[in-house]
Amino acid sequence: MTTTNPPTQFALQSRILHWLMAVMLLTMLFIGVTMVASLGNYHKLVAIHRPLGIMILILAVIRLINRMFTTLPPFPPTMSRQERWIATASEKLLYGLMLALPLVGWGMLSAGHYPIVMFGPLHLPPILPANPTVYAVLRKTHTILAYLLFVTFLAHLSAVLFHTLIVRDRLLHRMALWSIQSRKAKIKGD
Amino acid sequence: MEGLTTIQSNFGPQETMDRLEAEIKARGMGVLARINHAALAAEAGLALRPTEVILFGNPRGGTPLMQANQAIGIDLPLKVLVWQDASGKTWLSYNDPGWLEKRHELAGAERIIASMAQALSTIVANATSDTVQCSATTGKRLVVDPGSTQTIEPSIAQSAPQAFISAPQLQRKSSELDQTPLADLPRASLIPRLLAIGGAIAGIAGLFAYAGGWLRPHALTPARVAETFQLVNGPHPGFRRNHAKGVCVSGWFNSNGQGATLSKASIFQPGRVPVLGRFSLSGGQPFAADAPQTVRGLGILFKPPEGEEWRTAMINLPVFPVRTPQAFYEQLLASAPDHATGKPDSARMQAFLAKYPESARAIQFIHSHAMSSGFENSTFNSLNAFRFINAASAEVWVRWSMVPVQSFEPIGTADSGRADKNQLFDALIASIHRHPLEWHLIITVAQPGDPTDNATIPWPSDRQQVDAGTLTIDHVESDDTSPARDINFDPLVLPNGMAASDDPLLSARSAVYSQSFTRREGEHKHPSAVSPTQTGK
Repeated sequence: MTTTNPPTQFALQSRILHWLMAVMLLTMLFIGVTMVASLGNYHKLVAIHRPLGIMILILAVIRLINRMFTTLPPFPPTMSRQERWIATASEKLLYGLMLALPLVGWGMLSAGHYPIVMFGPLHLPPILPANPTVYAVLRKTHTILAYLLFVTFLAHLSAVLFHTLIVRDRLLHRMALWSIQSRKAKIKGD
Repeated sequence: MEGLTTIQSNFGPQETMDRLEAEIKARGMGVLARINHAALAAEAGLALRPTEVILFGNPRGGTPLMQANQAIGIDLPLKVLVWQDASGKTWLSYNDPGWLEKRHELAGAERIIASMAQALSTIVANATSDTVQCSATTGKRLVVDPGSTQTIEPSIAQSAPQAFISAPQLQRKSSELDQTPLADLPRASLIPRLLAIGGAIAGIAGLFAYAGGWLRPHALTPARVAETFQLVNGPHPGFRRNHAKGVCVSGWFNSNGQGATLSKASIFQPGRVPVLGRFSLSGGQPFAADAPQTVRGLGILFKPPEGEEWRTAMINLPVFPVRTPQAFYEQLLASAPDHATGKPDSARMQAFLAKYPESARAIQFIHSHAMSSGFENSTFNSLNAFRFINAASAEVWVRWSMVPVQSFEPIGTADSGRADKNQLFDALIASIHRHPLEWHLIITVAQPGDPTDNATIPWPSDRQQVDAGTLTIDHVESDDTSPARDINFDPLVLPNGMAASDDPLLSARSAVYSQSFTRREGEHKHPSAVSPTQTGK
């Protein structure tokens, strides 16, 4: 077969970004929910939460640009039109949350008159003027968006598990870190 | 031949083809063409045994496959060939959908390919025999080599009961091919898999809920401490949950450069740093009358024009009465006024002190120190230990104090009998109006063995002390107008060169201050007890 097939997998850098950010976002959600309920570990966790959030923001921007310039593998035929619509919408939601959560966090600390401490002497400038009401609204927004991200993540995970274990359509292969081309070559050789 | 399934028909070529067309149409699929090769050969003057091919399909079935790989379009629509061999037997051949899947490297199309294979085998079975309905078992199945007479009993169809789909079912199936084909896993393996998915999701959600404290109703959380303050003091929306009553001040810190030997923080470089601060009385009641015995607080934010902020929240006690957040919480409960008497229950306080002997010792030590008459002549202490790191990366453990230049006056010499609800704040305001007030920032350096994780124990008095500079307060303002009202004097907002110690109170203070800050910033603000008129602004 010499024709150009649509890709069977996401681009390698897309897959690396996906799994790297998956680990970071899940870590971040757990750090966030733990720290606000913790007295003893609050400070240590906050000190990780801030720079990790900014790293997620930077990666999310890179990922968004990458997303605009890479060809995606098609949906498997096992996905209905509605399912494709939901998958597309939830992808947009996830991208939106990956960008919005760090920005809201940064804006919230700015409005709360906090220094935006990264690590060592590295600080970020405020992105909003100090304002108690804006702080309060953004602080609440940060929590709500974080819960929304967690629920969206659970839905995403459920859908992938459903496809992998029940429908068994190799949906997950599109995002596998290893190449599935070699598996195909093996099948061909059989 | 690879990928070609060939089955013998019980009927002649023409009848087989007619039956085939009827079967296809009965399943709601469109017949696109019948191409009679033998007839075309005859027209060209050539001889060919009966050979006819039928093209049929359903866009809903084929399109998803072409979406996965357009190249499969070369093999679509589906075709079935009916032909007669030299011995007069009629055969029926078609491309095996599984082979098409492999040929075009379709990923994730198993369900559609399986449906297609089932539909084809059923159609072909019905076209080649009328003894059994809706079954693929009658047509003798010849695999691979149509030239051979070897026949193989059907095996695939028998092993897959789902293959026997009645016509209406099949019609529904084909019209729903663009829907998610629900699992045709055996029920026995479907349920454990569904349970595994549910278990994984519930497990992660449960872990999240546990981390967030929802499954630990008795855990001491920042919210619980803040709520206990509200419970003990009554609700006072818009005000700090502790140190609710206060006035804001500003001025500057003149660093003499001595502090730089201990910490590389830019604040300790020689020079002047603007400061914003707040004097306060401990307790969560913003309108309580000033009592000289109430613990006094001073929060300071050092804001170098270039460089990092330092915030500190100090009180005028020589040691802190509790060692841990838990003890702090229990002390708060023990000192809560009794509903009946309106006064703290002494029995509860006794029980608390018996449980926490370090607190009993700390309170004894506090009482052995004479309290000053007011804010202006109070020494304010960091209490908790911190780590200072200098430019050579050498670390020391320190505590610091703001030691007043204003001379000490004991409690009681001022006119304490007056019914001025704001007597302490009024005295502070008056003295700032008279002349700027000054404090020395004295940093005490610990020796090995001095407790850094226990704020109830004083360090020996012979420890090295460094005077890092002078704090000057020249301006006083009401909470109502000062930006300091909306500052969280979080003791862990530290510049590079200062860090938290292992004192468990520090992280807890940071957490509870943040909780209090978030609560009050979202609430409607009320005028404070010390108004702008009183501060003379």
